Amino acid sequence: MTVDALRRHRPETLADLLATYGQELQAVAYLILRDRGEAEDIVIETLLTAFERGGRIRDERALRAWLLRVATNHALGSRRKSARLIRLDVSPETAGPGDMASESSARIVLLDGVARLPLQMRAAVVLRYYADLSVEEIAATLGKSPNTIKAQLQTALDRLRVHLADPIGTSLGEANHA
Amino acid sequence: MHDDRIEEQLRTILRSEGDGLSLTISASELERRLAARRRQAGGRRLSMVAAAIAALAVGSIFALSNGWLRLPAVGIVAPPSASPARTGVPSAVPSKAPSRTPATRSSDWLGSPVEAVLVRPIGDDARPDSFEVTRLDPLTGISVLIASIPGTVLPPDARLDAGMPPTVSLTGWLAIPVERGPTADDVFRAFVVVDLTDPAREPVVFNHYDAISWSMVDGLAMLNGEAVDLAYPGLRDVVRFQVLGLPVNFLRSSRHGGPTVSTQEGSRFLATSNVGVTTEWGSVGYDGRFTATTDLPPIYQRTGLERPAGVAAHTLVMGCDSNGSATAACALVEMDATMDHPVATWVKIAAGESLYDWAWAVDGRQAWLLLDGGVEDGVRVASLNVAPSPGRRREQARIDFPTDDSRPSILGITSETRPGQGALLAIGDDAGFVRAFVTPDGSVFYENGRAWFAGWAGEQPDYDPD
Repeated sequence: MTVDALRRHRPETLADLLATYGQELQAVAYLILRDRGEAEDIVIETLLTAFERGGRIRDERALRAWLLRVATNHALGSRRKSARLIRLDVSPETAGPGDMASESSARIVLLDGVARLPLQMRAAVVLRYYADLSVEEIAATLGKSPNTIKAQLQTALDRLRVHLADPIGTSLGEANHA
Repeated sequence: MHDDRIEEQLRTILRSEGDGLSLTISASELERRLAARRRQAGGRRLSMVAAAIAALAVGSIFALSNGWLRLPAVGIVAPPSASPARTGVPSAVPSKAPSRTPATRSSDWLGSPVEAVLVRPIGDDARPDSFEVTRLDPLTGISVLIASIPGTVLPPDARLDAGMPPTVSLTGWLAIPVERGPTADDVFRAFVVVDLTDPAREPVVFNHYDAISWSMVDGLAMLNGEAVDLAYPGLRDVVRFQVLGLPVNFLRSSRHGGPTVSTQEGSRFLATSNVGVTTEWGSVGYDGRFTATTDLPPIYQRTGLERPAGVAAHTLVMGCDSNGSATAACALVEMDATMDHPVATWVKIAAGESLYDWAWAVDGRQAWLLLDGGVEDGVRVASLNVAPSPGRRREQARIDFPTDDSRPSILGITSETRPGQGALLAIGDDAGFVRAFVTPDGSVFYENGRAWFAGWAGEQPDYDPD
């Protein structure tokens, strides 16, 4: 119904798009950038872009992939435009007893590891493991070949594995300077 | 650690992190940003049009001499009955309050919130030769021509609707009300919608509607009997807004206005619904369902008069108690949301006095009153008063009116021109022709000639008494 409404170019479609895709787009943008404000801006820009140019999309599956592509490109572009060095902090959490402390700790370390990955690699990880896109879809989204994406994902997993084993001593490349 | 395990951990943690974010963006915010984009695009378009005019002028002379150019034909949009029904999107609307980004609201190409858009018919009253659309700053008297619209935009069988003024959208569409029909006994109202960025372009005509309101994104909410249709002139599209459940009465935004457009997330129009003998105030959501509430949602304002009620859905009504005598004692009374219980008496009208018009101030807390100020030196005078609370009022200005059958009216109220400095008011007659502007310090600036007040050039704040 959203695709049909987009073709008809009805402003009510914005509310529909927001409800259907807003949460996911915000999460993708946030996980790539770790900045809530920028993530919200990206969602708005993405949905407005969809409203203005999304009429040619033919089915819901293609629409979702296209929206993720627009949002990811906005996110990557947003960070490229920013000359600042941004520290991608992960907030410390209070450790609970037993397994919970262990799980919480692993969570922090893993999020920290993702945040330290290079920007493009981080985007690939988010699209693969949060948005559940296929390698081919990620390749189309990021404008790379599937083989490049496969290699990036494998490298990311390798780096995260090392980071989990030694969270303090490892460097994941230029990751903390997005 | 094996890849599978890390991958599983990544999925779990990223989903937990991503899905744990609350979505604070609202559909209203999106609509505002869309409107801001369009205004910016409109401004750019105007610049390009200006730059292209010189080139076109040269080309047109050549083309006309060769018979290449033709005047635009008048277009008619299919009546709404031919339009597809719209289905609601009940689950599509987050319930959170909309966030605000004031910076995106400053790019109005029409002008500022304290400038007025005036429409002046040139030539015949029923079928003018043209319309001049100007932007006037009443505080400086500076007037700028926005567009000159050829009279040929009106369909051949259309005459101006003398009792209703044109209204302008924030993004530059002008809706001109007309009467159409083959004979005087067989007429219907229609709205001819002109793009001010391209006035000679083929207009859009919406037939068989009683009244309209602009929304913030070029949308026209149009009353068609008991129903509301939504139109987007740029898209030449009309859809029926379906109401589910109990029948409702859509509240009019002002005397000449259409449905009251809400800006709150999930809420579309204000309405009342009758349950037995009780009237309930509330709003109709995007899903078409009525929700009773006296905590009215914010309202989009084009003239500052779009509030059918003040705080807590209280209304001002004129009540008279004749007591069987020939001279009735009247008062402007504030009624509660049920319309059954008086809350306060704002102003008492002595026998022989007359209250021409009244309106809630933009914040819904004060009231503006336009009273008969008697005759001075043979001239009819209207007295503009502001009442900060029931029983208290002070005269803000006295405005001369011609001695004819017209009724002095409040046409527009801005929010405060600057914090603490009061509002700017447009005063005119009941056909929407502006007579004067009253500034916050009580100065009166008269408008020469006949021009309709079509709305403020910039966006007024939403009416939200909370």
